[in-house]
Amino acid sequence: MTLHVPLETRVLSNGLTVVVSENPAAPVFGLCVLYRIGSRLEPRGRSGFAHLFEHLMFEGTPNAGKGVFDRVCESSGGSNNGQTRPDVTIYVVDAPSSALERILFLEADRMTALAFGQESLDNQRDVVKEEIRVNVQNDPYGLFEYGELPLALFDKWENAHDGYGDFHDLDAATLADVESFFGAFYRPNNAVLAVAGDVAADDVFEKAERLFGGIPAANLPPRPDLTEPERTSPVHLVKEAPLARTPAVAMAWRMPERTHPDAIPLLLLGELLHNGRASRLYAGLVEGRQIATDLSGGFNPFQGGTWYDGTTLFLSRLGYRRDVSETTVLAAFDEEVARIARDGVGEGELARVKTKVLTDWYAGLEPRLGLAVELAQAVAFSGAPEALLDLPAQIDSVSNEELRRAAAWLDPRTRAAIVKVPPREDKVAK
Amino acid sequence: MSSLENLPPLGPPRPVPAPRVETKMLPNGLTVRVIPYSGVPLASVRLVSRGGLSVDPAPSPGLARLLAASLREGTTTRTSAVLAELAQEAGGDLSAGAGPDSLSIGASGLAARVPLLLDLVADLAMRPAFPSDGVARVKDLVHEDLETSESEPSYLAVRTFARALYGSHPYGTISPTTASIDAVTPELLAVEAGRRLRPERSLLLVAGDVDPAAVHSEAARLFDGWSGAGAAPAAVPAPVAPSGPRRILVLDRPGSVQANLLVGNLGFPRTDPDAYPLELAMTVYGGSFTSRLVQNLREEKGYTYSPGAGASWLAGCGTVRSYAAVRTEVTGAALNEILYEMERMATTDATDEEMERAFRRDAGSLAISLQTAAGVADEVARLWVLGLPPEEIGREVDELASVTKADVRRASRRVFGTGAARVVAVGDAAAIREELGTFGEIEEVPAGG
Repeated sequence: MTLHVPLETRVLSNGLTVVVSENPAAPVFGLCVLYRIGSRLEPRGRSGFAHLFEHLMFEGTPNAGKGVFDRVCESSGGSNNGQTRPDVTIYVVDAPSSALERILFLEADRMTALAFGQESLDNQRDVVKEEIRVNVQNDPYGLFEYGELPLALFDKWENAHDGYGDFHDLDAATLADVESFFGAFYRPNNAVLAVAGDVAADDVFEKAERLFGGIPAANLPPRPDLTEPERTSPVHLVKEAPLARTPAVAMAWRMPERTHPDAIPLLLLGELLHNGRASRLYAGLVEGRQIATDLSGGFNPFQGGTWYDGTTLFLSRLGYRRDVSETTVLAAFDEEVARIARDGVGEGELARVKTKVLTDWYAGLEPRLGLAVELAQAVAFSGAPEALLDLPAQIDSVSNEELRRAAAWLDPRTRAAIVKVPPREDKVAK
Repeated sequence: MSSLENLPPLGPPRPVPAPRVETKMLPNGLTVRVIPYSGVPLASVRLVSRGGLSVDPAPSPGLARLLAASLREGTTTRTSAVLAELAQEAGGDLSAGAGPDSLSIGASGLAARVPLLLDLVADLAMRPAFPSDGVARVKDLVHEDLETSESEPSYLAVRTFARALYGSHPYGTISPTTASIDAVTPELLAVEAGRRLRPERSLLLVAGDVDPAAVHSEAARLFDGWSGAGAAPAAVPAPVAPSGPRRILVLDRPGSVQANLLVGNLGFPRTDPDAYPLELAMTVYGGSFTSRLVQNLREEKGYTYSPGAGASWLAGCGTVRSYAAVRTEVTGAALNEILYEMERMATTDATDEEMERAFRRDAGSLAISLQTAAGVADEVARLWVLGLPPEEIGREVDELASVTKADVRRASRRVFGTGAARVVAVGDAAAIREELGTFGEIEEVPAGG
């Protein structure tokens, strides 16, 4: 069982890393431009700014007006999107190979300069606020694992603040902030361009040199230390969720650095507990004891794999029945974890979970865009795209002993947990 | 469209290669298609059977959905937990679902474990057990889903629209009712499984990094001896398009700040020569950001963020519909613009630029959806349900490329005449009723459907 991924890498003189993986099987390509700036590194007093800025990247340049990027992409047969993550912001395109040059042109154009006024900033600020209203106010559980849990778990502002941002901070953002953020972080030496699919590597390198080569590099701000030691005490918060119909608990632990020997075993542990109907939590709490109704979670859930700077969180979220207490649910969760820490898992189960992790990983790399995003992240976090292909061997080598040691990280004494309960007087029948 | 003069031109459109498909038929009538496709060491297996929601017996609306979900609850040889472990061992997922025309059982995982994946799919199709605790759990879940859906205006609009278009034809019912869920028993499910899951009405598809000969012989071994039980479902007659006058169905949701509008009519089947012209017409009309409907309702008038339109294909017919969730106070104005754009498609030609954009858009999204083995398998399965061979995939881009403006106008005339259109509005009836009355006879629909 092997995966053949041809890789070619070129670093332009301005520091832009270009990665290409050729695959002529279908006449399409996936493209990812990644900037090494995410919500954790946005300025203090400007929470939510990285995300707001992502929106502004679609507001036009001196060359291509507002909306041109979307329109050209669509009328070329493609689609595009942007996403702000804790450590990186990615801009992605899926398109037929006939559109390669114009997409590269447009990406280079908006890396060169942005052009917009106060009106665009105000407009996108409103769009972002609306996005927060819809995603937070419409969600019966609100920010939960995205905002409230990191705040409860971490000490450093970078790790603990809410990446959606609060309205006060968003309102404070100015055009000067936009300009300095672009100048500091949206530079070629802070970016990766990855293209996978029906393209020729030499052709991509030639076009990249011609279109991106003239964009000047800049001195990048120093990167702060994002690591945090393990917690020494638990956090347990209970909040009322007015729109919720059933209770839920989200819990998390601080994780070691991505190069720590426990990182890959923790990744595997996350899957063992959460992934699919054969997972420990599904079999034990949903199907077995029938106390939980749904579950999700795992290691480094917001960026995937072991792609993160400093620390990340291990997340578990359980929805449970109204007639079950939070104490019962947490105790059942702790029992499942303790059983792994004490007994490990059977060899058959260990092999099955490894297979499942690898299969999901392969499935994520088959769409060209999925591969492009992973290659860009591999460059951003480990310095080389080839690091992506280490995962199968890393997963394969995890031993039962390492899995048991990983389970010891999920200690109730270092946990941050938030419980959301529906209003007590809510008598809505199921 | 843009003032961007230095934008590099598009290259010539590239054809989407026709997938290699190796087809055999087993003695019991099961069609087996293998699509070898390398790239990642994965494969997907799916079994599609004619017998979806449209063959549900009249007293049991939505039964196909419960039937599909219950297949996963255990077989006569394996419990639900064992099925889950085996699926995990193959690296995959095991699932079953129901559409208007078909039931589908799917398993995906490592290509090396295709024999196990085939075994799991065969087990669900041939030996479902419908254990009472599993069926009870499925009924609870479907109840809960239904309850959630009932609170969503978009769902209410779709459900009402189906009733408006198809009337008492089976396509008019898209979901179960509380009573029909309660009435489901393991015995009923067993009878329906026998009627619907039968080799001569099924297609087995395996796509991925596999050896076709090996897959064919394994499939022949596992599905040998499979037969249906009881009488196969009767053929579903083609629905008759509603005729004039235009009707407007209003479902009251007091206090709504928005109205969900759906406008459309029946068209023609996917096998009709005008199917490709209609696909392009829908893209010009409302299937993309640069389309007329989106430009009009969103960009020029600002009535809504998410208007759109599309054609959907069923085994015996096609449907076109336009949708928009608009602010209550502009409901009538928005409907006016939708009807205007429909008439414009039927009576005037698209521009050269619109034609080129629509072609690039449709050909591009087709190529993007066919970049994975699972995407190809989905398309082959979809075509089979609609009565088309897998070779159609290799023709689609050429067919789209050969469509003329006259073709688009002709296809539009067949579906966009607004005289007999059906309109559904879900919103605050007191606030929108009078204005909508300008456009035709209003019929108030009770909340229960």
